[in-house]
Amino acid sequence: MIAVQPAVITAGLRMFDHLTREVALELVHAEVFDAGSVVLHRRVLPT
Amino acid sequence: MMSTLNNRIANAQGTFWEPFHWGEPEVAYVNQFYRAADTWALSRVLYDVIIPWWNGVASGQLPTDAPEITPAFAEFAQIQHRMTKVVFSNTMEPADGRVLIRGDLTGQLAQLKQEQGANIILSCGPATLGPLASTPGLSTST
Repeated sequence: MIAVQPAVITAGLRMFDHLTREVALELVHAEVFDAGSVVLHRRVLPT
Repeated sequence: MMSTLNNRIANAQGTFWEPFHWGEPEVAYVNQFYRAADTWALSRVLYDVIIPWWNGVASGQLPTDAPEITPAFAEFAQIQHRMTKVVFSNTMEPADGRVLIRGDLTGQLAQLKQEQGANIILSCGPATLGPLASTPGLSTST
């Protein structure tokens, strides 16, 4: 799950900074909350 | 067995930055994923920040900074308390309900994934996540 929050930030750690290969994802479900967050559930596609 | 990557916003110092509401509906939604898992693999830093606090909630000894414990929060506390914690650490010692992984995280998590059991939830920072997420077949969802 990745929770997307309604903000753009100027600095910080990047979640996938250390990937060593491309990873293809497929959206399983997106849950939108009234407070503004979106939780994305994605399946990793075999490559 | 499947594994799930789970990340929250961290600031440049590696600590949580949570200016946003994360309440009952959000926790109730996330609980379904934890309910389907029996193991939580996480880095030492996240373990220290998360687990003692939630264990306090689970045992009824509320941390001094605890907000109102809603039903979803109380359920999460119990769910996580039942889970085996697999901690990535070179210095921590094993304990009840806590398994240590040192060295080859990818290989040891792959071996853990082959064992009988429910889902594994993974929580860690980018430096750990990158190699794990880059390993074909290790993570099945994110």
